[in-house]
Amino acid sequence: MKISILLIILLSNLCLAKSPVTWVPKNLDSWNELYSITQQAKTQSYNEYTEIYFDADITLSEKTVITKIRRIIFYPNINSIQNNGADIITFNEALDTVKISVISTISPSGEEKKFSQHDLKINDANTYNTFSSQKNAVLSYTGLEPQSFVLVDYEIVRNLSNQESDWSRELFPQNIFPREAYRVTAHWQPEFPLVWNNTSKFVDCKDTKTSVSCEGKKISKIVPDDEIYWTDQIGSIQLGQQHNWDTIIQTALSKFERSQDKQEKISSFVKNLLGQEADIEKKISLIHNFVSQKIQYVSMSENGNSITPHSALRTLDKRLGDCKDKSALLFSMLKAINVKAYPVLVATERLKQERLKLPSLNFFDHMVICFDIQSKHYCIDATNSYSDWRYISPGIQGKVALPLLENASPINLPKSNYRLQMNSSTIYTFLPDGGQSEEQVRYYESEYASFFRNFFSNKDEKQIEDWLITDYHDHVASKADPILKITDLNSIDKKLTIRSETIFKPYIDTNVDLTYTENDSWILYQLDNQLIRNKAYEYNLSGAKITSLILFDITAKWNVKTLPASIFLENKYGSLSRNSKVNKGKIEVLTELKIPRNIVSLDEISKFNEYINLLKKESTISIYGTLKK
Amino acid sequence: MINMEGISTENVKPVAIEPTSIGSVSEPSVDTGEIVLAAPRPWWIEFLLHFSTFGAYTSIWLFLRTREFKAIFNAPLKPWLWLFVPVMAIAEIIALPKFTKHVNALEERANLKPWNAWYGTWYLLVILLTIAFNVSDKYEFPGYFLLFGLLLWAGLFSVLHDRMNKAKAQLKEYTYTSKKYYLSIIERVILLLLFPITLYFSLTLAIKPLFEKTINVLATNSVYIDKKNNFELPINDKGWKTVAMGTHSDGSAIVEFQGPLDDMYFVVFHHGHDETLNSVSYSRINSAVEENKDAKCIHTRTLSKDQKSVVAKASCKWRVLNNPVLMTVTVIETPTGIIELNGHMSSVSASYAKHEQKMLTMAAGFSPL
Repeated sequence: MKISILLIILLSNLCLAKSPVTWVPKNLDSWNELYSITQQAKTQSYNEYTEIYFDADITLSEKTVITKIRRIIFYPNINSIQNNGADIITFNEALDTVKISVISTISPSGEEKKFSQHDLKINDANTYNTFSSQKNAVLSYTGLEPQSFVLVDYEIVRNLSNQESDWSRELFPQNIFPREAYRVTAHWQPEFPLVWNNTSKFVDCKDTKTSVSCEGKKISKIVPDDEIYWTDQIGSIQLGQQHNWDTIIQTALSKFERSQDKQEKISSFVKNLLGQEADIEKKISLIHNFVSQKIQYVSMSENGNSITPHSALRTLDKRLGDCKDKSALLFSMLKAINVKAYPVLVATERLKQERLKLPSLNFFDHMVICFDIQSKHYCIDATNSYSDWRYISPGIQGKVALPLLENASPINLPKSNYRLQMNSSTIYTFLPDGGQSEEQVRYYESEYASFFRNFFSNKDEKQIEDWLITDYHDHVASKADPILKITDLNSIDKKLTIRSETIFKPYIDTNVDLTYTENDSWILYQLDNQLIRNKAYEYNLSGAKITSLILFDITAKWNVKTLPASIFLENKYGSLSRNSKVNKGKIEVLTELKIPRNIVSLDEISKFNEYINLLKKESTISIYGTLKK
Repeated sequence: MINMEGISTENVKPVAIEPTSIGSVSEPSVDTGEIVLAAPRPWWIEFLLHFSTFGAYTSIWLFLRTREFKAIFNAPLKPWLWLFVPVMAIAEIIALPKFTKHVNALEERANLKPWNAWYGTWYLLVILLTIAFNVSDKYEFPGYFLLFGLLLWAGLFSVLHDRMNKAKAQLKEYTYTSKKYYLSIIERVILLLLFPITLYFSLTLAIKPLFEKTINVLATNSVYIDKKNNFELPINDKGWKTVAMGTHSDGSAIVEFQGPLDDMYFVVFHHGHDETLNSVSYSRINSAVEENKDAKCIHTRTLSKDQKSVVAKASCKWRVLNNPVLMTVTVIETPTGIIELNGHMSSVSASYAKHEQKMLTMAAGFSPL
């Protein structure tokens, strides 16, 4: 699955053909160089799916970009055939022409089996509600058997005249499979210069006035990891036209402004929507709720609308739109209430703006609307119907963004110090018969509430209750079923509240002094979540702040003898603090966990996890009582 | 104010004085017309009484003697006021010379050479000892010093008693209680009960520390490093030393530290992997709370200096005989298991206050290496 995804990333960067795909057969004999590489590779003992040879030759001219791809792939065994026996060439049917010259399988005995035009299948690269000009040419290699080679040679020609944005490409020499030989060459004419940058340690680049060639050998595969933004971590070769951020912004802004017509009709709609509401924040809430919840997400991003939003009035009228359409409508509606907003492009898979080595619109795949009111900065993601507008949608926090403002350049969107914020309040009453009652209220705030609202959105009441009970059994207690109640599930401007009441059958000896240990469940749960499982790359911590107040009422049978230890375990990664006191014979224990957002480098991960494991051990609460006489 | 009127050796009005007991001294009878004095008792009996009662008997002794002087010399003395003389150094400056004047008068009557109180040395010693005893409830003195002081105190008054014995032996005009070795019931109880106790405390608190084997004297502001590199302990007070195993523990400690005060020490126990931070720290706190109902405990957890483990620090405070007591427990996790630093300090108020914070700081500085 991951291989396919990365291949899509890789090949989508190279697919520059025009639909339909044309077949221009070429004999292998004319491909002597590659054939000899194949013969040479036979002497090697590759034991996994390996790209023996990759060559991309790119020529930029005023109106076209021609990309020629040559690849040799080795399949050592059945598994590699089953998992990677097909490749995809993604292309834009409105802009690209694909000419396939060679697709051949060479068996271990040297027999060549050619891929026929009839084996080629074209399908849509889109999901059920997303439409664009992107198509996939699926190459299911024929005649594959262990120890086979596949030779691929094709060319994609992109017509730049019809392109909405600038042209740029990012190629990743390192992939999820090893590469033996890798080369990317780009040529250009002096009057239409190409700019380039290489951040991959696996290739060396040499350039002339009109070309650059980057080559690498024996490139190891990417080490898989638990959670990682690949485009931030893997070095790449970036190629693009010569632009600056101003021209990029002007291009995007001019497209965006096309959506802003018939403002008076939008204003009239907004007036009706808001009624007599005077408070600016409430007005924005109503507008945000409308755009995020009443406009269905459907992306019609075929060529002409790949970066250009549909008109705001059309989006309002049809109640359909994608991020840029919704943003255009939101912008227009905010304008109607005199909020001066601006669109911001977002690269949802990037956190490191320094990785954008050359100005291009192609890094960005999302749009939000930002503005300042009452000296506070806000950015609204019109596609997120589960987050209150007062905080930035969790999915885009910290992501690289380009405000479409004059003289702007890439920034990082603001991010919360603590994306996971939750308070819990629990009363444990020790009953005279040795049983226990537990009353618990959990309040999930901001982004954390948004996560639950999103998670519960496709579940009915029974499914939500079942999930909550399982969650309670997993993290609080498994020996009793709680009565659960969830409130404010759909009120995105309020905390999400989950209440539970549980009665535990007698299990405590009431004839002796009390020795009792209780897990601070939600603190422990969150600490478990904080453990980083990355083994090869740094980790982006989203930040958690959990407060737990527990009241132990032991007055039925015991007097307080010893309180839980006060804890203050703080270091650069966060803190766990606990204080307790006796109030009317009851023990109050207040615990606060703070793990602020952080980028934990690979070197630090083991230290961070050691710290979290220490906190886990200290999350238990011990209390002691003396039996009343 | 103590009334130290002049002494008259004339117009002596015979008064019967019958020593009864320390607790049942009654006013001298004036009806018999006969002065009955306490029979001269060997000085060592008096010595034992002064010693066994930690000097409390001195008040009674002065009361009884001034009552005798009042009877013999018809002096305007108020014997009950003399009960307070031994605890008031300022009063002693006036009272003691007055007292010895009566002794001299008695000796004169017995045709003995008057006592010169060693030309003031006796007064000086008594007054200095009184001052020392007075401040010893605030500042701790070494046990051997207090024992020496107590012995000296008992000796000083025994000397005086002996002089009075000699005078009494010459004075035949008075009636003496017949029993030379007479001891009241309370005196017998005191000697039977308190003497062994006083002797025991003398040996344990004063003599034993003199023979404790010091292994190593630890420099102030140094850091004690465990020989097996498991822990370190900062030494931030004067007078700390390592002492023999078993000095303060049952012998199961791996190292023992003696502080500058007699009852001030740390012992280190290596619990290994059988115990946990919780089991050790809570059990010590619970024991302190169970044994001392007024114990107030503080229990905190922080990260160790290297931030790789948690250190549990607890301290409990309570009072015994109005003296403050401090117990500290510091528990650390090391690769070889749980190690506990157990501290104890008890002293008189000023000495306790002087060392408390340093003791707590040392306990808090106990860290894994």
